[in-house]
Amino acid sequence: MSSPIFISLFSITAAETSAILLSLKIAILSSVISFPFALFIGRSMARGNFMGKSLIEGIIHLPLVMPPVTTGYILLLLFGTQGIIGNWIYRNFGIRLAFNQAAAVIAGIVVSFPLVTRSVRTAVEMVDTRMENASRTLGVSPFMTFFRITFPLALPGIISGVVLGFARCLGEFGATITFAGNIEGETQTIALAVYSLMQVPGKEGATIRLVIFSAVISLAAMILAEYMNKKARKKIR
Amino acid sequence: MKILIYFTWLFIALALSGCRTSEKKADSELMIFCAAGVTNVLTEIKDSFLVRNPADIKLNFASSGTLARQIEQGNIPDIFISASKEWADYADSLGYFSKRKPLYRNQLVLIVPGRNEIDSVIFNPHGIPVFSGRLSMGDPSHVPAGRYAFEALHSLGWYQSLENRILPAKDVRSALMVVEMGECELGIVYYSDAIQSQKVKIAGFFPESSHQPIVLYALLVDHADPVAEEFFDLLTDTSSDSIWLKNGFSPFNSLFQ
Repeated sequence: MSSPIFISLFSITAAETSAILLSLKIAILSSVISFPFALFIGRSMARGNFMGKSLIEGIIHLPLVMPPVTTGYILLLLFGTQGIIGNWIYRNFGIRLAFNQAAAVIAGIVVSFPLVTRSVRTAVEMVDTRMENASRTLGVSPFMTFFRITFPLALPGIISGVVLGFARCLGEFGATITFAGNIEGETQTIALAVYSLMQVPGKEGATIRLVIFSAVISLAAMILAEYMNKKARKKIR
Repeated sequence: MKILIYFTWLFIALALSGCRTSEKKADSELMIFCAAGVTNVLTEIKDSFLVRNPADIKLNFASSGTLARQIEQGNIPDIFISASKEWADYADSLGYFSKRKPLYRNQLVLIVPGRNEIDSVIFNPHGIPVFSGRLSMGDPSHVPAGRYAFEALHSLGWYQSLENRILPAKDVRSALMVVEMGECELGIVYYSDAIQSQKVKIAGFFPESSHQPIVLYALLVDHADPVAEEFFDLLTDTSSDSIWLKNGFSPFNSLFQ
């Protein structure tokens, strides 16, 4: 049982390699782009008190509770070429937002955003406000206080949030197939490639290969996160 | 707290109501796997069948390839309706089915969003339509409509210039939806799907010689329930004729095979 699978790992095709690289690329891009926003909003949620806070919180968390396919459909209605926002962008800049790599990244950002924001918020809430206040009384600006005091103290929690978001992007299927399509070499990530392969008889080997690779990537991401987490904790002490 | 009690009662009531109907119904249960493009026809035939026969008919719609794979995994329906001969052959080869027959024919059309102007399309190597963005069609690897479209593009000599602009959909209805939304300026679907939609216009019919004949097939499970057999017969019964024709299918003629 194990030996044919092992051998088949070496006969990976170009389409599969592109699916793996695309998954990584889209997940990394989504994570990097959403991170500053997640940091800002997560902090505001933890420390700030403003009008419409719970409404904003609700909207951000919507993709977490809604079925991904409906999220994809809403994205299509908003950012599609005929969509409310997408049409404006298309008319003014000639850029199509749906059914390309940008769409896959947008889908990734939207579905992973609540997970990252949530983790940032919890991590920031755990930081002792007296430390922040001490920093402020010593004349440090709120902005620098956040980066010199709050951020390093909250870092372990923030890292786990980013990893969660990254993992969510890797696993994203429903919103991507609806909003970005299943285009080989453009938006066909591991999850979509596995779906397509499952529809065709005799592709079991290729399916298992991709499944193994996605497990390896996920495991590597988690180990890396654990390592960074430990380092961050040591620094705090 | 009161609300919680209400919900508990509501839950119990729902659960019990579910029990009663399922106990009362001793009717035969029928599972039908059906190609996505035949959704409307099958729903209508099912309704006309239920008028005369009490039965619990469950319809499962997806692309024929997806359904054939589900059958392969051991999820065996009483009747399988495939949009292509290829997937009917594949399901047949699994050995679960005893009877098989061709149903109706379909055509392949080029569609554009309803608000767009149509230029008349000439189906020859010089007639490659001019459009921006992508071309919406079924995924050729497993969706029959996509497979036929792939063949047509090849035989017309359009494939090379359009290859990188294909947007493969998971079934023919998804391919239609993308054009309906105006997300793609061009799509290839069945005639029967195109006429269902008010939001798309037909720009032209692909020549029948440009692709394999599009014939639907129905397969009946081995040792079928009499009710299943009756439904199987009803599919090609003269009384169902009007339903098929109304939905854009044409009769299967033996010359065609």
